Amino acid sequence: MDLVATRPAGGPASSRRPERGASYVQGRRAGAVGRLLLIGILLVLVCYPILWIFIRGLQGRDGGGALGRFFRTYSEPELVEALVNSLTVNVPATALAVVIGSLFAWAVTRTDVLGGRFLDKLVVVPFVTMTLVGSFAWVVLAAPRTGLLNVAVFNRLGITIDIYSRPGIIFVMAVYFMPFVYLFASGALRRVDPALEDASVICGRNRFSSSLRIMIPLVAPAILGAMILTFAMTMEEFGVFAILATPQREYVLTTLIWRYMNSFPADYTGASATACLLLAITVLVVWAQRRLMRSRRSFVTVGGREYRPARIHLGPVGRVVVSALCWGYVALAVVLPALGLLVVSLYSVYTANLTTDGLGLDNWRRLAQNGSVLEAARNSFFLSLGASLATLVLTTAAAYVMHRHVSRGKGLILFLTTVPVAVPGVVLAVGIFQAYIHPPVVLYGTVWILFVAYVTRHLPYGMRAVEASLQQMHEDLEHSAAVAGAGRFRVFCTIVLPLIAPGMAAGFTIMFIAMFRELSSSVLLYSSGNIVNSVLMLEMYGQGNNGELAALSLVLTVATIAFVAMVQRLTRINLTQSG
Amino acid sequence: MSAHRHRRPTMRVRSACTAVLGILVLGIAACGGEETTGPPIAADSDLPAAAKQEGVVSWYTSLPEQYSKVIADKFTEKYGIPVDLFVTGSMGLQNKLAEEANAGRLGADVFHSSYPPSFVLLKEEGLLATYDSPEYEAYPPDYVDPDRTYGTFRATGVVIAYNPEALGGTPPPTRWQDLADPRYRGMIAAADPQYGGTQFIADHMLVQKYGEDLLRGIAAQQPQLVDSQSAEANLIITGERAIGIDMNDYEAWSSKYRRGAPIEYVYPEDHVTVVPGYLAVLEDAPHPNAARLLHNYLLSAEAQKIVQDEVGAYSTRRDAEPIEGRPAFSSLPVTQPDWKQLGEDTTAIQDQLNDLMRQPQ
Repeated sequence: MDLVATRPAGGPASSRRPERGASYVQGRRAGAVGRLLLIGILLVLVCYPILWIFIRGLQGRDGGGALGRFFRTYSEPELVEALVNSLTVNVPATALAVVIGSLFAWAVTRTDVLGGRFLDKLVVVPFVTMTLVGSFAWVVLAAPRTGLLNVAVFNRLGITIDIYSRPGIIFVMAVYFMPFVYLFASGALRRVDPALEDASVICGRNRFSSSLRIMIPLVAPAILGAMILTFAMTMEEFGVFAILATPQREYVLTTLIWRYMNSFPADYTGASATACLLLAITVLVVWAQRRLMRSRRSFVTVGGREYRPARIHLGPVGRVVVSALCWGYVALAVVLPALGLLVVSLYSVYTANLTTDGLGLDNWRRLAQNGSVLEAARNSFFLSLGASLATLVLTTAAAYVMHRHVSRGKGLILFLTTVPVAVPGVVLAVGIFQAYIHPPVVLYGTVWILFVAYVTRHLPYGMRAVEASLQQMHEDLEHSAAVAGAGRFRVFCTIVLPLIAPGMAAGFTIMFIAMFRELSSSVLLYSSGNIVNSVLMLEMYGQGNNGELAALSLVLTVATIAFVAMVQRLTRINLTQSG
Repeated sequence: MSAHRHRRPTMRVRSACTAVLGILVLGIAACGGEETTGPPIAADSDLPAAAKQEGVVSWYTSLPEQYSKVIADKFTEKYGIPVDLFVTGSMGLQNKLAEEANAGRLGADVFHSSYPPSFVLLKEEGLLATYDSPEYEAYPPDYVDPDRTYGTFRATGVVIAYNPEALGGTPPPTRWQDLADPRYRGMIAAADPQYGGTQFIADHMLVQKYGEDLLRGIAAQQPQLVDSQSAEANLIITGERAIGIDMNDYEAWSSKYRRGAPIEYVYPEDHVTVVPGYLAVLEDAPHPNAARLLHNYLLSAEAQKIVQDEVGAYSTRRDAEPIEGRPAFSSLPVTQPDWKQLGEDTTAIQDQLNDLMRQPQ
């Protein structure tokens, strides 16, 4: 087996097949059945609710058809305005998130930046926090009149920062979506063979620029994938816009959909039409990404050799500069909002006057006595754990089928595992609600409807994570095993699975976090007895219990980080054992 | 739901596709033919026993959970029947209920929201049970449906709230028309009429009473629009904005008296919108006896006292005591709209308010 470095993997059509053994052929048949089963499950999970979105959307208010209203939605000036708002915020926000996220990932994974291990944990904190709470924290910090930063610092300098302004919203969006890029980019960077970097250094380029020039392009597929997903996520983001943009009557597509659905009676037709537009945009973007990736050479970087990634030494000056930048970012994006929440949680009535009046632990005491908190935390934990494991199994199978077989159904699988990202949570929830309140599968009123919703919504997350690690793995590794007589299943278990395990662990982590704070579909699908964290927090926000909300949010953030750290620890141990 | 609409998929995509469509067609066909026959309904005196047999009761309510739970727990304590609470905003409840009814899978026994047109609409569709609660005798006729499908659980007055410190010496408004005064420019927060029943009704009543110009004038003050009165209260308490219009009286009252927050409020001299929060038993309630028992309890003097003392909302019972710091309910200059008309015109009114509140750029 050669030490494969970079080389074009070639299109699927050109992939070579090894000699076929009997077990190989048998495996092929089992594979075909499995593939059909997989496609069947995905179709039901994804298409069935989406079909219901259309059915509900095309039902008029009086039971008749609503095709006219459906298409008329597209000529509404408010829709055009919302589309423009969505794009002008989300494109710069995504770009910012990608730049900061990938540079940060590079600094943490490949350099000797100070406290890299802590940075690695801290930087994902905003991702763990519900954007609703995060935006609220930023209002506390940077509302034009009473924001703590304005009062304490900027007003004295004669400046007022306004978090409700366009740059303010872009900033908050970038802060909340940057960790997503970071997780993908750092995962990919950890898998890259450092020999490539060494080669560049040997050829005379200095260590620093070699690292950037070699590593960034090598992980470009992962970053590009993350970028697409990030953009799609920003397009369907709701909380940030509801808190920061709606007060100026600036709507984006998601808040417009929400408005349609919360009018009286609910305008599912307008919501459905707007959702179709979102869907179309995302499909277009994903298609463009695929084309782009096909025309590039794809880089296979994980060969059959074991290695331990080396970190480059930045030198004293570089180390200080890079460390200062990283820690400065963490202080701004993570520590400040947490402090803001802490301050709010310590006042029984928060008035933005930081006096000692009313300072105390009332909110924390109330939180500890609130029975719903524990119930919601338990529900959220088990739901997120179960649903992310289920999604992981599904997406690993899907990603493997897509990348290792010249077979029909590839496009369909790709489509099915990508589409949910394009459907805003509030809209998907309508489809899921309809799909599982009607026979034959009635899950409504039970916790299982949330389970199914979580799995459906997060298929793209798991898919992107597993796919990214598969893309970097050369198929020679499997072929060698197959030539040596291993069946397909055995190849998968002994070769593929251990190698993509880090990607799977990353996928699991991301999905768990995302589910643990999932709001937009939970709020429509939960019923009494299965309340989850996010719904409880929305409830607190709605009731103006901001002190308790801030306290709970801090507790959940710390708990999630601890859980994720534990998972990472465990998976690393498993990884070394099987490697 | 349009039942029995069999469609044969013509595309031969894949067997799985056909299966999915098949499931769908079955689903559509199946949900048409379901008839529910509920258990018999006991006489009022036998309700506690019959309700106990049913085991549980579910209450869909727009009263915030912290309050709903207090009242529900008292009910459970008294009758030994647990209450499944489902709490969300009035519009969300209305839509959820409509979808559940549409699918023939109603989860609610008792329904309460502060958007009266919901009740008019549900009643028209035959979804509300006709039940002459013994408690109705204690209420003025204006607050009980003549056909006995709903009563009034609480009433919310719409006030103008303000933060004296944030006003910085400017006198607070006392009438709705004051709000268009340029001296309040940039000071006003408002609840967006798109998002909630109370502010929607209040804004509509302003247009009815003063014409469109008043709302245009308020919009020209560059108000900050938020989705709920709680969010609005927080803006005022922190002083980010000085004046909150369309504020719920109970929200302002509990902020001031229960939490000691720096917030004051006035019932405007010229006109007060009062939004009755109705309460009804559903026709197809899964637990019809428990539903009636809970309905009666919620309207009883005992529960209504909690509504006044804990929530700070008005009870419309004749024997309700006055609330500290609030005018007597009967003294408010109330104008009630035609709820049926309002329900029918909701979309048009929403469009109108949306246009009016749009800031001139």
